[in-house]
Amino acid sequence: MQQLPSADLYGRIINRINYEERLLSLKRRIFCSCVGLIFSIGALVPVLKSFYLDMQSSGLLEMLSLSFTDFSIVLSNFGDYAMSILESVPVQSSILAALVFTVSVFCFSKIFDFAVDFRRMHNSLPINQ
Amino acid sequence: MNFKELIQKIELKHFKNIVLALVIFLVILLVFSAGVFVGIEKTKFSYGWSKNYYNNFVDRPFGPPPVGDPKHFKAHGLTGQIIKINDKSLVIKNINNTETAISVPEMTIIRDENNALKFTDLKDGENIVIIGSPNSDGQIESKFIRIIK
Repeated sequence: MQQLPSADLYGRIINRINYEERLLSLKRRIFCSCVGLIFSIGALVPVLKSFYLDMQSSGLLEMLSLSFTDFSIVLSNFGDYAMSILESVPVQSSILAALVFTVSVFCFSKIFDFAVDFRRMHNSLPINQ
Repeated sequence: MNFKELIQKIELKHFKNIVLALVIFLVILLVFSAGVFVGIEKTKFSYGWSKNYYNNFVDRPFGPPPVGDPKHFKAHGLTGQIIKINDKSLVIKNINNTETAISVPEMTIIRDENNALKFTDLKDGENIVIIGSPNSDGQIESKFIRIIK
């Protein structure tokens, strides 16, 4: 006697296809985020080194230290002090360092989110499907 | 449609987004303006530096004066090493090997740690931080000098 398929077979197949599609999409996004993270961390080292050297050569730290050692004098010459700080800021390397750091943190948080999604999807899949 | 109806028509969420976009735009505009202002100050100072190069640094003029790169100049304060002490001014060299002439009026406050110093106490080779303002002679007129170790 021919055995008939169960009534919910169609629904289970469709669910499984949806699950595989979502899994594939998630894997692609995890891969892209991992590549982004690897590149941004690779770029972070030279960018931070350049930022550190620029900070040293700009004299910004010495200028900032004046606000701790000679606060009253700094206050009385605040306009010139503020201008000297603005002139000393290494703009390009600061922007680059902030950008690369932000991309690293963003990629890391995305990987974490995707990993949580992946675990949730995996747990929601019934064993018999 | 009057103004009240228009306000009601715009959803609160959109209104918040518009305000946020305006604030971001204003901040960007402010930063850009600050950059332009600082750039103009540096360029003015580098022009004055080139124009007065022989008066400030060299006794015997020879050839055209060098043209200063504005990005290496700071018109309101800098750090560097004293390389020459004149009568009422000094010359310092910063880490980019750019010389800058500093005029030191009598009212300039000079300090080393907690001690107040006189202009005559300054020595060649000392590292200093200066706050001041540019003058028309291509110098920084110092208001405060601190010796750093």
